[in-house]
Amino acid sequence: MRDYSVLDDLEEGVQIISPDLRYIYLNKKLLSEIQMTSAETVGHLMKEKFPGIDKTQIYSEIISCIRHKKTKKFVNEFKFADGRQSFYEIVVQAIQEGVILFSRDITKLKRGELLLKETNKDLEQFTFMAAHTLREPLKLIESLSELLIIDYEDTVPYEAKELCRKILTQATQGLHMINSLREISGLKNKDMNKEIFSLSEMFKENINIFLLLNKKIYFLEHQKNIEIYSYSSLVDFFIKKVLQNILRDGKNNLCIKRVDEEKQIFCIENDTDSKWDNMDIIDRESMKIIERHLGKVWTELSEGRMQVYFSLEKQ
Amino acid sequence: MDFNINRNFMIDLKKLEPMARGNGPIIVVDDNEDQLLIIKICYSKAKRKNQLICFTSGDTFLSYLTEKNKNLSSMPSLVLLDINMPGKNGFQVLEEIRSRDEYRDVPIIIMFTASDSEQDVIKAEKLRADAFLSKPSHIGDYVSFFEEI
Repeated sequence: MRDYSVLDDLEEGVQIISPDLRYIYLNKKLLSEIQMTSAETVGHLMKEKFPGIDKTQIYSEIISCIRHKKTKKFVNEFKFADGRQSFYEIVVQAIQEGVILFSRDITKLKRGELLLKETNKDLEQFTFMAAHTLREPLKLIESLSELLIIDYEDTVPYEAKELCRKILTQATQGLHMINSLREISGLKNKDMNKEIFSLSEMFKENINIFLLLNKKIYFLEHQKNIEIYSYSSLVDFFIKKVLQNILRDGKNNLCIKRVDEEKQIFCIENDTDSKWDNMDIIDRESMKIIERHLGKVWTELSEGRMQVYFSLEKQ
Repeated sequence: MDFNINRNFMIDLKKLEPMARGNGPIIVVDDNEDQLLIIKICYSKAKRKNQLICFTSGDTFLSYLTEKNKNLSSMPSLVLLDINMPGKNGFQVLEEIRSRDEYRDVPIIIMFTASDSEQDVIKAEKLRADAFLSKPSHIGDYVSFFEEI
């Protein structure tokens, strides 16, 4: 019999299995984990020592490796007789004697992953609920200010009406943002479908919202209608965020262009007479939207011209 | 859980169809008084003949149905029910109305502001609501809703 003592003290669990699925060798680490001795296992069939193991993934991977001589790495959940449950990252490799298996205990890592998943789910739930709760008062602000503008048009002074319009615009924007946040939070994914829509029209509509806030904005018609196939609410949210960040005081000449049809690259361009400060044009939410589309976003700034490039996944 | 929503169940404000039946009152149940104020103003703009009756809780509405609405002439022509209310929520009220034989055919629209989750829409349809409405935020939409419905 070959000497395997070099494997005895390895940090990973090691076992060697014969082609007829008997234990040939188990190192100290593995024996301590299964709480058995070498004498109790070596020479015995796997399913004899662990009844039911022949129905597990690890067993079928061993058989497959013996047959096809292909190395494979996978994660295996193992339930011990005493009720303990552990996760192992296992590498199974064909050798002359049969197969050798290296197993690393990743239970802590797996539990951490599960905890992270649960925390994320809680956070998503919280975002969803917060968005829910905020929608109602915002909708009411929107309706009430609209009523004030419509019903008291002749009696309210011009300045007061302008203030009402600003309240209305901000409430409408807030509602758009909240709806998009709910979608981004992931809980409304099932609702989201890709659709064909006009990016240039969407851009113009968003500019109109800012026009209500008395911004000096001019939409430059550089191109024909830009039709795309994507998640319209997410793209809408992205455009709003970008416009919020790039519109400053002064005169703004805006346009949107399709830079590369094949790679779905677009550019929002703003020629402005105001000075640019160091500011975050692309914030975290905008970045997340683009990542969701498997795309990229970057900015270029030269001689007062701000260009925000973004790509969406290919159709 | 089945997530297939019947889109025809959801009211499209651009394609409104009459739903109210008869000359009885149109009833709105919503715990938010500001919302009711908006509804009342928009309803008056719609110049509809039916009387508008508002309730701020499901319980008071159910008591009204039990005590005062025993003859067919005052049978509601339409009920608009908010979902998120303290006490009995909209689903419970809907369930109770449908369990009474005399109100089996009253058109009921479930209204949502804060929720339009798929589960809620499916639940509303399962409990035999006639339609689902996401509350309009624009006055014009509200007015034409009352005019057309």
